Amino acid sequence: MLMLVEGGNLLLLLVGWGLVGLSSYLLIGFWHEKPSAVRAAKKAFVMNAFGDATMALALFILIAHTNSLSFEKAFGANLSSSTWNWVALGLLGGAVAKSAQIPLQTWLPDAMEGPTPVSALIHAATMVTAGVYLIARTHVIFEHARTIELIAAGTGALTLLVAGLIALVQTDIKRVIAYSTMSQIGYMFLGVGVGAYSSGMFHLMTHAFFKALLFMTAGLAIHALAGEQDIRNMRGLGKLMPITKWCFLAGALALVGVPPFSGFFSKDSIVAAAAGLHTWYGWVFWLCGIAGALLTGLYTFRLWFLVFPGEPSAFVLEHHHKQGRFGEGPWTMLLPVGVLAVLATVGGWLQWSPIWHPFTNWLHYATPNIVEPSSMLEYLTSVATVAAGLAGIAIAWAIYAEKTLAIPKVPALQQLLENKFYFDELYDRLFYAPASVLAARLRTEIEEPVILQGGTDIGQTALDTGGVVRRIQTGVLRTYVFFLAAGAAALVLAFLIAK
Amino acid sequence: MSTTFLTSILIWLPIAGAIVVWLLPLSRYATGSIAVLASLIEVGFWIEQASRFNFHSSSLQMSEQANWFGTTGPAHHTRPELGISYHVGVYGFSVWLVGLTAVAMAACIGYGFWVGRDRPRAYFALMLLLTGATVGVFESQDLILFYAFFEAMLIPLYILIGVWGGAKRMEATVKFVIYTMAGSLIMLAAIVVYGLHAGTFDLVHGPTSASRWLFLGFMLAFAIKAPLFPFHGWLPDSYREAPPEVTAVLSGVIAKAGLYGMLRIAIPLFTDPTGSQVLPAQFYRTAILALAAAALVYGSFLAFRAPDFRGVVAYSSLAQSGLITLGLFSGTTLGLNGAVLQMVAHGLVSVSLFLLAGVVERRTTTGDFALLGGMARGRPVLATLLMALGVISLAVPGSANFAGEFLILAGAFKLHWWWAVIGAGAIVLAAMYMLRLISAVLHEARGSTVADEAMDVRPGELALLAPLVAGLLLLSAWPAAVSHHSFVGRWPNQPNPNVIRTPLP
Repeated sequence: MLMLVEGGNLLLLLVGWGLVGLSSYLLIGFWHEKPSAVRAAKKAFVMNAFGDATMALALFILIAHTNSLSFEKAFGANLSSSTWNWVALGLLGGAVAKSAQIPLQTWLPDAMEGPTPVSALIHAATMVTAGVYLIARTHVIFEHARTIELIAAGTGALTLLVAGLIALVQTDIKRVIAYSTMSQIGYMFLGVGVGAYSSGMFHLMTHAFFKALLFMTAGLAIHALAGEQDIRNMRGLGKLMPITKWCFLAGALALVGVPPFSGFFSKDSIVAAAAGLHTWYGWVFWLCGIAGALLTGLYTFRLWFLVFPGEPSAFVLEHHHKQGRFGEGPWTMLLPVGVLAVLATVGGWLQWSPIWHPFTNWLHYATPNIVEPSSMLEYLTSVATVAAGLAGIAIAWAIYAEKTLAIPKVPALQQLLENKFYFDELYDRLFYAPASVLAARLRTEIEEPVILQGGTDIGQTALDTGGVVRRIQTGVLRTYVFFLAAGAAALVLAFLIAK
Repeated sequence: MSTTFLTSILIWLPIAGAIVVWLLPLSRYATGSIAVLASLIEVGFWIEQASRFNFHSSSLQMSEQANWFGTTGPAHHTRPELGISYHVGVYGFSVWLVGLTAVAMAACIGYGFWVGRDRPRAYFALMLLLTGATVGVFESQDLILFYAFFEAMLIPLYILIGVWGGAKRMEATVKFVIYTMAGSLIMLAAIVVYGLHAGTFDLVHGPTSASRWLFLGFMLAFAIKAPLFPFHGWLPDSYREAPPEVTAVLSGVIAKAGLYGMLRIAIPLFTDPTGSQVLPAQFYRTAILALAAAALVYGSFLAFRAPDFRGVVAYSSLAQSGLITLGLFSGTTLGLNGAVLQMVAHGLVSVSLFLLAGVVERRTTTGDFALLGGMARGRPVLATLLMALGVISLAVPGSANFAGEFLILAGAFKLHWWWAVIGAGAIVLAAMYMLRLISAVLHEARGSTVADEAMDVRPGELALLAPLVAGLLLLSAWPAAVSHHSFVGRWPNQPNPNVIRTPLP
């Protein structure tokens, strides 16, 4: 990961990129006797290999045109606009795969098969956000290919909505958080895609705090319940684990973006920057951001109201086992959670972009923003996103705590969401199944009948020919003499004709 | 001190060792010890050669030349001199291939010793003979000598598969012999015609040729040996039936002799160094690249559905041969550098993987994925080795194979983007088949043939595999050791740019 970040040229970056992918593969498959974990690990690696391949192609283009992979040479290159587009598209392919954005997003929820600290570190805080870093690091290339950059923003906007919707119906605590990670990275893509690099990077930082916090508290809950991950069984856990409960709440509020928690400061400036484009698609992105805030409030507090408040359910009482004081996890688990809770709360105070922006100033020399929304727009956006987030919380409260609001019954929609928009099925049909069939067909139609049988046939023919020729070797002197004479005659004839 | 003797000694030391173990009526243990010792001394001489080699010079080094036969005599003074000589020497890239041979053969001979092969005197003599012949192929600078060594590799392989192989070994052997003989006889004809017209069989001073037939004659032999699609009919059976260490040699070292032939003979003899004419190597370039790409994609797909350990590695070797050919014929320095690096890296990987297949088969009696699984539990060394080799083999960024593939595809990209796109697609396929192999052996529920008592990798086996893996890790850290120390200047840098035209029917 450090090599990825500190690499001074694109090749080193790609090496770090591949090695974090390898670590991810190994850690997802940590419980290697569990078939679902092994499958998830392979899926993550193959999807990332696809991203690595498109990145490598982008690098080949740069090599062919500049004979160099250093950032400076690449940024200063004089390429045609279509070449810039291809380079940017290749890099975007890698970024999308690594950061689990549509269309290469399906590996991330499955990656939750890994241990919880792994999910917290590489599948929430660091590795999956590398795509955002990549776009910010190579922003010059993306600015030469502005269309591709806006496609990245559009991908982010789409992902944040789709992931938010899917998160509404998930029942596994880690998967809810995983979809929320996808959705938040969607925000970051939106940020760096529209050109507000510092806002995207700032959200990357605050997100690392609160998302790691959420995963670790989820891990505490799972651990205390002997591995149970289904949120429908967890009601009332807060009473038994108060520290976990309050830490989770801090993370949840930061995620929704309620001031003064950290998510508020970073998320709002991204949404404002989208509107700052002053184009029709800028406003579409803006609306997506606001809608995403509503969804975030809804799915996060659905999780909260299902798991923590209220009286403990029978299941919780039966499975909960004390590990430390107050029924909490041991202090080795609580300490990091506490640190993260503090950071998730105060981490955003570093900057509030309309008034105070040292983070942006600091990044100005590396990645200057290319959109600057007005302060008015920022205030307006903040009000809108906070209102949307609070509305989401209110709806979740009405449905899951007070039960005054029934979930609207739309079976088709519910099925669509529970099947995650059928992406897995689609890719199975589109890629995996054809590849398997093609491989099997090549084997049965070409390899076995033509290539292998062909070899056997050649062998058989040689043996048969040998059998025929063997008959000449009669051992009878008369035959040999006859052939000798005939051969000599033929030679003489040949010489005569040649002469 | 003169260093020229190193070239010859690398050829003849193993052959002398072969004669010794063949003739001396020693015990199984003593025979094996002598063979292992000889192979280790061979490695030592190679280290000496590599350390004394001047990697900044583009000319042939440590060369020796002596008359062999066919030179001008009093009775034939009107005939042109045939110039068949014992001419050996090394270039930068040959040093690495000789090293690959020495190291891989030492590991494989050690493996044979470890498992205790029957008829040890014959077995070890043949393995040593094979070592010498292969080194000879990589060092010959005379076509007739090259051909002699090229054929000399075949004899030990023929016997090694036919005697020590699996149940269907005879079928595999016959197929192997017919395929390779067909190729090399055509090559012999091409060599003779080339030599008669050029007036010399020398590779260093020989002129380039414009004959397409001759080029195709050479290429056919090399394409069978490498192998390339669709000339790989011998491969699946041989790789499955041969003893694991012989399969390792076949795919890790012998296949490289075919690729080396393209690099040393088919490309420089049939490419115009001045670039003013289109000679056969350029004329057929697109066709050969297409065959190479076909091997790459086809091999990857078949590896993805192969039902057993060796099948996956065998077809992945076919794919890698295609990839290396892609680099060789890309006509770019990047591609050539990458191809040599990939030959060495893939050689080490496939030798290690086939030996590991042998390790697994010894414990479970099978390589069939349906009967394997769950071997990681309680066998940490095996799991670590297979995982490390698997991810290096699928060219995870940072590995030696990644560096090789990257250079090859970057070179191929300069030629045309679609070659690189096909190669990049193969990267994804490689991930799919290698991860499938790893999981099928190591992960999930325990296979029906995996007994509780099946041991982890033993120290003896580890002693064979660890140096190979260490070599791969070193190459991963410093791939430029090979890729920047193989060529100086432009290859092919033929000193004699005269083009001869060989009239052929």
